[in-house]
Amino acid sequence: MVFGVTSRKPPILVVTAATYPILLSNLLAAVRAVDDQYMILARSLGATKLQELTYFILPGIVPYLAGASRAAIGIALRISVVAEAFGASGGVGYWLVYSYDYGYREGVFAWAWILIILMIALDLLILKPIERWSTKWKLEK
Amino acid sequence: MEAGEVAVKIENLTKYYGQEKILDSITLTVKQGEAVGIAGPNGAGKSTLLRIIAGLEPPTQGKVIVRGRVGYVPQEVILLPWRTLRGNILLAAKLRKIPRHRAEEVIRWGARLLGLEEYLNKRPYQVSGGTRRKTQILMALATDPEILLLDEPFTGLDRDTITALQKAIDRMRRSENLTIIIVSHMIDEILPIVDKLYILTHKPARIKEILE
Repeated sequence: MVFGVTSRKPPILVVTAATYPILLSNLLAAVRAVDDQYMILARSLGATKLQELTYFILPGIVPYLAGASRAAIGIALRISVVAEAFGASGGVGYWLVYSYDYGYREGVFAWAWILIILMIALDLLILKPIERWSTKWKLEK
Repeated sequence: MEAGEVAVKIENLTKYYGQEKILDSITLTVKQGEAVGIAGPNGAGKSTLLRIIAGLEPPTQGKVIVRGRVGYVPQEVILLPWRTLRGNILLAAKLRKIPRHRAEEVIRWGARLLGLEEYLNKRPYQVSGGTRRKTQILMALATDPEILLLDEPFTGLDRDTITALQKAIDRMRRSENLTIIIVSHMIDEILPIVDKLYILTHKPARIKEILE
C-alpha cells in the first residue's frame, strides 16, 4: 500500500508467499532453541501445557521471530517491487519500468532512489528498532 | 500439618539411569518443621534425590510420601530473562494458584529478609548471581510451600552472602514453620542451619551416616 499498489490482493499474496517459509523455519528452530531450563522451571511450578506455551515458550521465541521477520519483510519488499513491475498498474516497480520503457532516464533514477531510500528507512527506522526492542533481554543477557 | 508429624517419608528408594544405579535403598524421614541436610560428594545423586522428592522424577523402586506443598529451588538458577525479578516471583505464585495479595505479602517480607527490595524491578541479567539465587528462593517461597527443597543453595556465592543467606533461611524456617531439606556437597555450609544431617556415599548413593 505504501508503494501505491492499487489492489490489495497481490502484495498480501506476495508478502505471504515470500515470508511464510522463512518465518516457519525460524519458528521451528526457535521453539527447539528455547532453553530446556525454562521447561524444568515450568514443570517444577506445575505449569499446564497452555501455560508453558504462554509464559515460557512464546516470550522466549520472540527475539528469533523478530530477526526472521526483519529478513522476511526485506525479501518480500524486493519481490513485491518486481511483481509491481510486471503485473500492477501502480507502485514504485510499475513506475520504474514505465520510465524505462519510455526512455525517461531521470524517472528511472528517481524511482530507483526512492526505492532505495524507502527500503533503508523502513529497515533502520522501523524494523531494526522493533528487533532491538524485542531482543533487548537477549542481547544484555 | 502439625509440628512433629511426618512431612517426607522415603522408603527403600532406588533409582537407575539406564543400567547405572544412582541411589541405593535410601530410607529417611523428615518431620514437619525440621531442617534436614543431605551432604555427599559431587555426582553422588543428591540432586536426583531432591528431584524425586519434588515429584519431578519417578523413583525406579521404593516409596516416597510427601505431605504438604513443595517449593523446589533447583541447583541452576533459572529465571525468565524477559521478566523482572518481581515478575518472576509473581509468575511462580500465579502458576501455583496463590492469590496475588498473598504473593505480594511474601515478596514484601521475603525481599526485606533477603535484602532484595532494591532489585525487584530489575531483570535477572542486571543483578549479581547472589541476588538471582535469592530471587529463586523467594520464587519458591511465593508458592506458599510447607516443604522447601534447596539444591546447593550456596554454590558460587561469597562468604558474606552465604552467611546472610544461612541466617535468612533459618529465620524463614522459624517464622513460617517450614520443613526444609537442603542438599550440598559442602557440609560446613549447611551444618549451621540443619537439625539432622544425612551423609551419602558416592555412586550408588547410600546413607553412610546420620548426624543429629
